Amino acid sequence: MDERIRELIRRQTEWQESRKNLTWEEKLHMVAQVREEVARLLPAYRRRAPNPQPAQEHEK
Amino acid sequence: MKEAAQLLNGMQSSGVVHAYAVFGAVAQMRYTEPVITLDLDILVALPDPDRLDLLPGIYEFCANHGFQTAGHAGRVGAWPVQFLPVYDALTREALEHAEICTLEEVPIRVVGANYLAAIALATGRSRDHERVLALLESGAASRAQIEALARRHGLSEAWGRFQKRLGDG
Repeated sequence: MDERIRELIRRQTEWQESRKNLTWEEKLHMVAQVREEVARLLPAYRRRAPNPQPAQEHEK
Repeated sequence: MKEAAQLLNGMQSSGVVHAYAVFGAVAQMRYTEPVITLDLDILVALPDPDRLDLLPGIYEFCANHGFQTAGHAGRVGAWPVQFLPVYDALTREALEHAEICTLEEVPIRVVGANYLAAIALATGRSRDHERVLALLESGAASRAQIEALARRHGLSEAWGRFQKRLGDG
């Protein structure tokens, strides 16, 4: 495996492990913030996203 | 979340519920890394569980304390809150054995790791199996304890399926 990939995985693992060490309060705060951010971005995403077609339309 | 803890304690002390405990993803996060969830799920024991309309007392209490309710959830601070009355022997026992933690210095009752895993096992969706696995990997839940709960609550087959699918042993 490429040494850069190995290093990247090591740092990502370290980041994941560090999240486990957050307190319960910190984790809940983090999740609430992510959720609020998604809700905030949703209207803009909906404006940009093409209208989904029914599946059968694609199959024709 | 502090507001939610205060509201729940108020519900219990005023008799709107006999007991409550946080369960689901929010409870899981005591032990595992954060998981994205939309709702705060609360298991409750109601004073009159035979009523046809189960939750109006809870919603009324929320409204009287200035919190909105819509559909099947209330909203307390940043969290939509969903209440679920205990529905079988396992959830009743999980509620009885709930642990008392503190959130922002307010006590709050939370379902413990082994019961969380057993409830997830009973629900049985893929993401519930992932919850069991995450709780096992965190070291908070033990295979022996989950297996014992599964045996007592008719979940041995479900435990077997989990073991076959995701378990190591």
